Amino acid sequence: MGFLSNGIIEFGSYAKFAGRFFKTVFSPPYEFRQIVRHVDDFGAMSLPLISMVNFIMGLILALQSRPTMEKFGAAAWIPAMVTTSITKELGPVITALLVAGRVASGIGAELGSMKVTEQIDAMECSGVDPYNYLVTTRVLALTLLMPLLTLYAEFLGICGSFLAEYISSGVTLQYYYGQVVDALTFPRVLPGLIKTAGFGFAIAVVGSYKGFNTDSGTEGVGRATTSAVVLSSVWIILIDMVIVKLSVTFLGE
Amino acid sequence: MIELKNLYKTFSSELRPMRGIDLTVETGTNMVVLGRSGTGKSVLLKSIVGLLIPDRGSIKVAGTEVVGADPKTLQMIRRKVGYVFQSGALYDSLTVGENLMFPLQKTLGMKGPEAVDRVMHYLERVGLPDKVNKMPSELSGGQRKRIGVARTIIVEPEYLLYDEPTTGLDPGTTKEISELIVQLRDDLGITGIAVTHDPYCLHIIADRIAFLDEGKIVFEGTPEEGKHSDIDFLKIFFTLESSAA
Ligand SMILES: Nc1ncnc2c1ncn2[C@@H]1O[C@H](COP(=O)(O)OP(=O)(O)OP(=O)(O)O)[C@@H](O)[C@H]1O
Ligand SMILES: [Mg+2]
Repeated sequence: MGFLSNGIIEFGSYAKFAGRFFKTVFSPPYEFRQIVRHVDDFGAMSLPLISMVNFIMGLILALQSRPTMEKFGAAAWIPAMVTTSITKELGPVITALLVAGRVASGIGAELGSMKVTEQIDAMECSGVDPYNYLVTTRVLALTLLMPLLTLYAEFLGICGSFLAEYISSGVTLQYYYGQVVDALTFPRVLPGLIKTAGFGFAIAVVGSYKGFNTDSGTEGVGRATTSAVVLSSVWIILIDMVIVKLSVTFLGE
Repeated sequence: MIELKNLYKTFSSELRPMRGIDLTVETGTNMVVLGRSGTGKSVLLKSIVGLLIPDRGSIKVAGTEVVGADPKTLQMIRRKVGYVFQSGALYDSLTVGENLMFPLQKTLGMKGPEAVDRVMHYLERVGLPDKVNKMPSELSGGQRKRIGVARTIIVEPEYLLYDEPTTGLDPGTTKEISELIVQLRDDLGITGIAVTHDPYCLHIIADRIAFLDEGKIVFEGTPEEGKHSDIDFLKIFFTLESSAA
């Protein structure tokens, strides 16, 4: 009972916190330089990891599907199958989980230490709304950046799968490319990209919330960092579930 | 003048840092607030600039009510009342120069060469003009505190709240900061409220002292009166002070 009511109260304060984003994002002052800075930071933080993991994941996916597909005489479908899995599910979710690990913890730690060292108070004293300056800019930056990061990650995943196929069956790039493009239909790619914007939003909101509500002391910052990663990962999976259900219902796949 | 009347703040049943605080600080004087660690001295200072909202009571800065003020009024009050934070609170992603530029741009809307001159002027005032391009992490604790003071006074407030301005500093820096506080009062007529545990700093800057205990101001008077009061904390404090001097 206590657990449930705490959960509801907690959810309410997240909703309120996230709601402030929509109030501040459309009204001045607009902190463009901060937004650009965060896009740059978040991208630099996560690119190497995303690149490596997605490339290898594509490679593994092709490698692992081959024996089964061959058994059913469907080896020719491997490019289409891999492309579909990557663009619909694996690319968006794996990228988001990796970004959660790097960026949610980064935001939690940065804002958390600003909170305990009174930098957020100082900002408020200078007549700057810390939410607008620190949170809105980060949330907007990550919401815009996530679809781009994911597109890039999916591209690398497909490259990885080509490499695996090339090694095991000597498939040509042209053939593979043709198969991939055929598989890339609008209802397959679009929901995947839209949900990544939702993932980016959730990661930045959770990281910022944890940072803003850090208890004093250095252990407080550590706790904020860890729980930002855990909680934003849970949110990613929940959002994914809802969007998959919606897309199955309305787009038929 | 800053007037606090009957202030209350409760965080939880055991945490009640303000339980009926009354205090008046006259214009152009420095008030030192003493109290045990964790009694709510920072809470008191934060309430004055609206960083914390008291549950009850009234805070008037030059006649303007802070408690329940609308955002515009609060902005106006924060422009008048500077806050020197306990930890310095420098923005650690900005250089020293950018730290000083921040309130100039955001509070006063000042830009360009005029703003740069002002930054350099205030860095000289706290004796650290050569640190303008350093990051806060490259400074010592004392230097960070001095930059914190510079960043607060750069917008030329009429009132200053100092949260433990000399704690953790070496004697030389303690003396410099204490003297700076006196100068700000004497040269610019700034009204100050300082929280400090430092006998030397108190000795130099205090016009009056107040002792905060169990959520109330239980003593208010001149340092001389404090020395002869029958409150144990003050007796011990001033014994230490005179043995230090
Ligand atoms: N925003 C807050 N929410 C909950 N509790 C708080 C908050 N701010 C302060 N407190 C609590 O109120 C009490 C008084 O805190 P405060 O920081 O004012 O003490 P202090 O007198 O300044 O102590 P110190 O000398 O250690 O700086 C502490 O127990 C602190 O944990
Ligand atoms: Mg304090």
